[in-house]
Amino acid sequence: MLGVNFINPLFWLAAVSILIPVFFHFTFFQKAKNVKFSTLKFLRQNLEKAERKIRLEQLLLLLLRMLIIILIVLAITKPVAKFLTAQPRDSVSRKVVVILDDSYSMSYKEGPAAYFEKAEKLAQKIMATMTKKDSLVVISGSRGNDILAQGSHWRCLKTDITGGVRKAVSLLDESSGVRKEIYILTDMQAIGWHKDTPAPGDIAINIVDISGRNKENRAILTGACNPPAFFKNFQVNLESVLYSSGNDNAQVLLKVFNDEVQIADKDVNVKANEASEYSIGTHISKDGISRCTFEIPEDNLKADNRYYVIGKNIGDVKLLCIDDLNRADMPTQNSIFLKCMLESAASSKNEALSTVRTEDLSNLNLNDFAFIVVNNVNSRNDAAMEKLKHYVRQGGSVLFFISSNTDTKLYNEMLVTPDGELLGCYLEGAEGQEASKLIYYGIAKIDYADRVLRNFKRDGGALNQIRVYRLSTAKIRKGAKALIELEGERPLLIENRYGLGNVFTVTTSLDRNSSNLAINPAFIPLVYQMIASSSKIRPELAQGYIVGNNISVSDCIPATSRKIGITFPGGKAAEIDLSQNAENVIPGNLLPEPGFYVLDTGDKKIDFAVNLDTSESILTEISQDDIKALMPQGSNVKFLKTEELEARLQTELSINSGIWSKILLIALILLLLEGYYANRINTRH
Amino acid sequence: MLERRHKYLDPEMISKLKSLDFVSRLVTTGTVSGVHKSLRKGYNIEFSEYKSYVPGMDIRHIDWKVYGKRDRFYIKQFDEDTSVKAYLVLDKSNSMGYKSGSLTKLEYAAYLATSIAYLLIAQQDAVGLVACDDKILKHIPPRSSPAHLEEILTYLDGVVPSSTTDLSKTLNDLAMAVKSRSLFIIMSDLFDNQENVIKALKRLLCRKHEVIIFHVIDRNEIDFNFKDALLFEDMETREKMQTHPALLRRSYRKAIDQFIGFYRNKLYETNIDYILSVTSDPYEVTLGNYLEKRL
Repeated sequence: MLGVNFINPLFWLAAVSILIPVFFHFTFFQKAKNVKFSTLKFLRQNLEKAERKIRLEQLLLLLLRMLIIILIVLAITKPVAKFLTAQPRDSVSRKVVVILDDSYSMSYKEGPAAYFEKAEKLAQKIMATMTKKDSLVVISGSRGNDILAQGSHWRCLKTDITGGVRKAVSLLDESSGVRKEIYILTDMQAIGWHKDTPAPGDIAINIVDISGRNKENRAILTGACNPPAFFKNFQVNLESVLYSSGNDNAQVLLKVFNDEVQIADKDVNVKANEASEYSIGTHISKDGISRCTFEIPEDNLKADNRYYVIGKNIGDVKLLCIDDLNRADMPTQNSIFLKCMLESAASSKNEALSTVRTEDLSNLNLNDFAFIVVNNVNSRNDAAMEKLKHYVRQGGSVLFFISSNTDTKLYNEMLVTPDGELLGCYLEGAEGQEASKLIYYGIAKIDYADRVLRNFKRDGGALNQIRVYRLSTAKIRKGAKALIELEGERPLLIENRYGLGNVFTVTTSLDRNSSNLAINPAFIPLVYQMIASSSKIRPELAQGYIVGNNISVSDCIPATSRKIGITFPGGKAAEIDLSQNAENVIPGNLLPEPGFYVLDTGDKKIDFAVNLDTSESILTEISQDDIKALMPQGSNVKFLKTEELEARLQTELSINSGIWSKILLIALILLLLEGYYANRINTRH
Repeated sequence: MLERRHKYLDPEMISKLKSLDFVSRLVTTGTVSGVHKSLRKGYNIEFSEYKSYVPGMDIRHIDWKVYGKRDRFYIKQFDEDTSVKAYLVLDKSNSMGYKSGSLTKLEYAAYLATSIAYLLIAQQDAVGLVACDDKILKHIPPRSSPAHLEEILTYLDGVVPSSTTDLSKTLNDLAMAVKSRSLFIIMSDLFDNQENVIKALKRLLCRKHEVIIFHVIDRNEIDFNFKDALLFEDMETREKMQTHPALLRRSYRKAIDQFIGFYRNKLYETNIDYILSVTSDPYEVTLGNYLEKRL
């Protein structure tokens, strides 16, 4: 067995051209003119030798011509031949499952080709290494994990690598006596990986990072979906707690702006000396990071009047805020901000953000929380701190806000432990402006190379607009690093690795007397980035109207008929019969692309938008350590860059990318040689 | 001299050759006075020697001047010219029918034979003709009359190639049949067994005959200037052979050179005149050059 994969069907067509010189070869010997000659005795003497020579020469010419044609055919059709393999592979057959990430983020183009196309080519190269006794299955790395057919395309679905691995392992489990391999071709989005990703030791798992250096918001950058504003009508509940310290009730108009365009408003009545919760359900009309503003007449309230949210959902995570100064009837400004900022985007559930005091920590299982924010700790509680440290050592992440009023001595004592410091800095004191002076510290340095900050460089430098009026002076400890520095080498954001977790420290607070962090449009995304990249528990997305999901239509089924009309984004209309559908859902496979759909119940028409899975816009990539942590011990996992896999495949095939052009060059040289040789044969006598 | 026109007798050529004599080196015993030296001493103008008189000799030949000086009788002797008997041996085998130019080798040989016959008869020599292929087909005994020339030329007019070559057999037969010293002028392509031909020729020489060979050959038989792939057919054996001439040209030329060289060297050693007569050369030139050299 030569083990040749003739991928290009043109090969066989072109290969027939080999017969052309054969035809001419035999035609040459069959057609000869009859000539009478006086005697053949002088010819006969050398005939046998000459015939041998002529046949040899003609055979050489024939072979040369056939070789030229074969080389040209090979160079054009580029088949992959394993008989060219330098080192023959062992005789054990292989069973390979390629998990091809075909989620929406794979449509991101870095250069002329999308990630998916790169992955597809890699899959083909893997396929090219297969022999007849090997087998290969390509399955989807997105929701559903279908087995992919040739010519598949990326889909507007959410990454699900773990699901793909589960399916691959189940496919491979049935086999024995074979070499089992899984190739995962993905852009390494964190969202596709989940706990308990199976990885039996007898299966070699090769995780190939298709993505390049650019890890920016891939889904949105491509703009490939139609309509482009597929986040339109994406429901976001903007929740706010307004606190009035005044003596009078106040009528306040809450306005929601999206990129300076007012998209919603609501009259609220703020009672005197009372904190009240208000929410506006609205829709984000633009993709990407959106900013909404609550416009509150400043005269009526002492509280800060602007709140910022992001039109993105980072997932169904639970966050914990430790704030000793917070009281239900008198929340701190920081806790108000945090609640508004985090809860609005963290979860649609009511208890996404829990605010507790230090002494309440003993009653909580910290592992339930993806991220903990420490706002104010004003008394020593070693047990609580030890619990917090344990949480971080096990992989949890904490964000400390150190205001100018923080008891630095207490913090330094509490958070330094024999096995390292929780805080990445030693707190020295406080500095900041007098109330009457307008002095602030601007940003001096931002470490955009860091994974938390790398996506903010292109956002117009919004982080550079941060102003700090009061702060804690801190000295960076060994092993920690300042992600953001203020003028005069004053660290503002410090990251410290502690155990398996991360500790972020902000050396100021959110209240407007200390900084403008709360109104900086990039700060909340920065906090989200901290959460998304460091949280112990991976966020699971809230379900919505997302491509591929079933949509419940229980509320709009016509009374008289169980048939419902639907108009697709392109204008095409169809009728769905729900008579056999007890669950009253439109199957997700009928909603294959994002866009606006119209349901026609007969009585009314209902518009709804089907969105891309928002998780595909999350910027977080997953690290190799994180992936390993998701798999059981003893797994046989290798991480490869695209180039590394290509090099490995090429080594196996002994074919480099330029070999066919070299073959073409050789063919041309042989063609010249053939012309010279044929001419020499005809003229030398 | 001739009653009618003949195909191979070109008057213009004859006028060119008239100034030449076909002189045989052979010392003949002929009785008719001619241009060739005879073994007999006769009454010619060319003095040969003095011989002491012996009674019985013709006293008319006593040189009296010598007697006056020496007081002894001497007979003055002269060389006597006589006529020669020549056989024109014409190979008319099929291979002689080959031509690449305007003349076949047989036609070329016929021109030569006609010219030589004309010259010899013109100088009172007797000329005969032997036409052969693998055997003797026609034998015209040598005579010197113009009428005899007519007979030879008439035969030559109608000669056509036939059968295979066996020249050595013909020559052996002639060696046995012709007793008197004769001149054999052979016109052939000599495509026969070379050793046998040489043996036959030596046999003729042993019988005191003189032999001249006109080796008639076509220009293309020397150059072998064929192109493209061809199916060759042997004109004598009908054997066929397909090949590309370009590939055999070098070896063929080498072989034909060896063939010609063989005859040239062997015949030189045996003192036989060998004239390579290529059909592309004018036969009168070939013949004229030879006759001039022979004088």
